[in-house]
Amino acid sequence: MPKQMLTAIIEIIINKALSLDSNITEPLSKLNGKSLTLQITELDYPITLNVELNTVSVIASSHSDDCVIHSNFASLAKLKQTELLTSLIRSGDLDIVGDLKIAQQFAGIAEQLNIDWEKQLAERIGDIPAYRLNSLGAKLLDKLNFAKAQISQDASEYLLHEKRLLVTDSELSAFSSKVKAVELELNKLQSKLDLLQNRIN
Amino acid sequence: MTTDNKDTTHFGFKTIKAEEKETMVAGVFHSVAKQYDIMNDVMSFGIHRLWKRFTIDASGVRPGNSILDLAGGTGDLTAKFSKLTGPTGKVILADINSSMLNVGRDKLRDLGVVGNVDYVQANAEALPFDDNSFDIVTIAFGLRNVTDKDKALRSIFRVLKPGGRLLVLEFSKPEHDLLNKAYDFYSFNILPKMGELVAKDGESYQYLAESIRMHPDQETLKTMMENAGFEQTTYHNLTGGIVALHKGYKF
Repeated sequence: MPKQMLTAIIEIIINKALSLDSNITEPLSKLNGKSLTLQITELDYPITLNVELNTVSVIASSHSDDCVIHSNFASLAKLKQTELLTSLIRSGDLDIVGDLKIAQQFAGIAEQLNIDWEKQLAERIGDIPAYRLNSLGAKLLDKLNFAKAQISQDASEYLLHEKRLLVTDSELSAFSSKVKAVELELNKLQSKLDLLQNRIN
Repeated sequence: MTTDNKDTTHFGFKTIKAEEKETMVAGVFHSVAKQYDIMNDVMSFGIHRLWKRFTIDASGVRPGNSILDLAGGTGDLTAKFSKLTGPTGKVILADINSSMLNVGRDKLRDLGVVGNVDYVQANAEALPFDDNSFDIVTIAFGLRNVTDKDKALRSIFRVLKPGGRLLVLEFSKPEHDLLNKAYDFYSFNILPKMGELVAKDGESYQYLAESIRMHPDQETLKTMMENAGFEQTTYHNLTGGIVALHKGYKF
């Protein structure tokens, strides 16, 4: 019963997260009675999210008459970018049956979810420790982001200039324009050859 | 299967008069009703929640379905079905035992499950519903306590709509000998003591262990369902066969 365990865990996490954000009740109530079924290629079973009484039930079976999405994990992550929807559908990575608005409302809830972690922490361990922990967390996050940017910069410089495994943008565009120039020359030559051929004939 | 002859039946390992079983089972459940949920969690290490989830997933419930949760006890399945079938659907929580029904009703009301649930005290052998009334009937951990199981299955068949399905979640026979032995040890040595400790009622949990052993195994129950008229009958073993989910359709 691993899929029942997975859906149980997902259900607990979703409902706990929703209960921590008091501003989410109103958009969530609009989804009461609505459901969304996800048929993910990587999973051999569907997952349905059903909202009723402002709580989300997660079951491992196809249930929804409202909206069914057939997709894979990679494409699901791109669903937020609405400009990509058409190309995803054309490429066969995404198929939507039913009301797309329902899927967007579910995605909207996930995006709007804004949990005040410091407040939640303060209720459990007190105001001052929560503030300190939050400040420490923020500092760590800053440092991590800085380290990430630094490593990324160093790595690209190393690959570009030291090892010369990659080319820069300007080198690539210079190469592309040279290829285009050669193509143009070739076309000209081809036209001349065609002309000569016609004269001989 | 249920009755040895017309006059006697099993109550755990004891053979008793058939007409006495209903009262004796009622005694057990009046006694355990208030501690039922906590004991389920303690005895099964919480796995009963996954068995019930499996039943919901296999039920194919749709919005608007009418569902009978028979021997529904404290309403675990009803709570889920109520949300999944929505305001256009209907769930009836039925149990023969008034104490269990009261505990279930109070629990569901506390959870805010009120709109589409009705409560009916009913005997599975003679269901007080019209023919062809339900899309889904479930009986979870209840069938083994019914005196005449064949009669109950026929009664369920009658109230199901054509195309409707019955799901029987019930203790069954473990698939492997080693698991069987460990399970026996747990059931007869540990479980009654846990019952004594948590629910202050070792005898009822001794009955529980015995009634599980006397319940028909997977294949026998499947045949009983087919004899009652169910088609496309299948079963799925859970947790090595300690529990099995039987499913059958009425066409």
